[in-house]
Amino acid sequence: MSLFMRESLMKKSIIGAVTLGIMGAMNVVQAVEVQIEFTNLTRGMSFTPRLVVAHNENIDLFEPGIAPTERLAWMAEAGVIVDSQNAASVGSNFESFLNLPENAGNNAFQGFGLSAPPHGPASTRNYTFDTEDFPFLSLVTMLIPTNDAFAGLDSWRIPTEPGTYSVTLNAYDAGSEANDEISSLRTDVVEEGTGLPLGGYAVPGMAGSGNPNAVGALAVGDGGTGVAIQITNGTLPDAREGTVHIHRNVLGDADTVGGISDLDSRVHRWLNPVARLTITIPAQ
Amino acid sequence: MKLLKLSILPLVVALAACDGDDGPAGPQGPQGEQGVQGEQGPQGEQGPQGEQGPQGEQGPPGNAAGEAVFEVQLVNLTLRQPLSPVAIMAHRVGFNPFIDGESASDGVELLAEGGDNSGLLAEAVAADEHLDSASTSGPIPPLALGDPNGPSVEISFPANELDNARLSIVSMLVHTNDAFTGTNAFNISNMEVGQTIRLNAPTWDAGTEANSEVAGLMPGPDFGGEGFNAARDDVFDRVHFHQGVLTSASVESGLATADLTEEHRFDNPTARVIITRIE
Repeated sequence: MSLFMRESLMKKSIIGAVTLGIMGAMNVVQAVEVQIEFTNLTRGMSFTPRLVVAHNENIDLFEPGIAPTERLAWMAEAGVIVDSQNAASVGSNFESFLNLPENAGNNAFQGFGLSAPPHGPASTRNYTFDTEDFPFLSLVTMLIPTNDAFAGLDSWRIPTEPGTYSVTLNAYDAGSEANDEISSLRTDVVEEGTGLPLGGYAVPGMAGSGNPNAVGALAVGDGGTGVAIQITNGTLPDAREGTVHIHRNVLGDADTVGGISDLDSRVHRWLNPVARLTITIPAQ
Repeated sequence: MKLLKLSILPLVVALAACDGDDGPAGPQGPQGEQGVQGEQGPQGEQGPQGEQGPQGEQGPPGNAAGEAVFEVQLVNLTLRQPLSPVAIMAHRVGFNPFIDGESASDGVELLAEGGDNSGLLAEAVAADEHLDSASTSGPIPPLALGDPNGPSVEISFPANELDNARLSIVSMLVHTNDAFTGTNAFNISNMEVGQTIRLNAPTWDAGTEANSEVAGLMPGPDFGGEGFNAARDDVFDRVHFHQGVLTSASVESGLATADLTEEHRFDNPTARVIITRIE
């Protein structure tokens, strides 16, 4: 709730700025509302709330080949992008970062689907987004159920020519959590050392294992022994690869009550790309 | 008429610019415009004669019959997945052979399960947006089974349809239950004569048949099993991107019951589409 209040306040201040700008005949914050059609192309993955950011060259949501930021890990491990989703993330999530005094004037952002169920496989959502005429567009959203996979659009230059444009998103691995492929619904496994339950930020296990789309044939299994790392004495360490990279895909297996993975290889795997954005730039 | 308008335009622009210089007298603007209209008549007539030459050369961008002609070729990028006879469809904006996240048409199901493109081509022909369509004469073999460079297929339609022209291509990965590759309403409206565009095509799952990977339910030279079956028994009946095949290659993460082998695996892209506008 607090998020929506904040957004409406932000909108008001933007409108105020526009009015002032016109009065001063300079420095106008220009509203540019683009239509975004977002398609989940996968067979068995759902998307957590989508963070859409228009920005200039001073903002970069993620960068392959370097270590993940804390905010990227919050998004990729737990699907958290704004304060209202998780109090413990305040100060280290994307909302906090994008609202920093040194960053606020360099971007316009919005979270989509914050109060809706995760965006399920093979389906499309439509959004209207005000780019405020910033030149680049970025987007991140976690793939669930996974350890730390996310679909990313990295600083796509927004065309100035009106028209409809199509871009596809690949799946990245945030590199912040080992791909154990163990369900967060498991109660027989905890984090090594802390005894914390699986699935959240900075703990092993796959967040979103119990999401409402992961039912029936898409359900997450049980009893896996671990893929990239193995369960030892009912515990998993919070291991990590270390850098952001293109995801090597999940493995899964066809054993829903055992095997190596709690993912189902018949439904949870993907080949890139995992999502498509069809963006309509209006005539000015 | 077009020539006349074109020749008048520079004059209008020039005069409008003159008005701009008279900025302080802004309110007089409308009067200025009237003056332009009055003077255009005689000047306009003189202009076109001089310019007709170059316009004449630009006139026929296509052939004498006013047709836009394209050559389309598919290259099979897989190791052991034949591509079924390719459905190639030129159409206007508004037609799509399929839509991600929605149920496949019967024609797409027939093609994606059995490699038979007749149903989809019939759907394309029946659509109001249809311009032209064709099929390759046969399948395009993968590297392991033959020459992966498919034949060039020509399609054509009146050049005045170019502005809204799109190209869709669909072909089955034969050694699968219901995978296909191609393009969905690719925009060819801006292609110049002589221009070639190469596209890397991803792989879809028609969502119409469970991915059993068993020989009895997959057609083609390696299996010869059943192709089309009207039942829709995949995890959901919606077109989506293919997740790849599991095969029996891995004991831990594969599918023990699969007849597909590691050679049948693929990754995106599975086909290269080469489009050349020849006229």
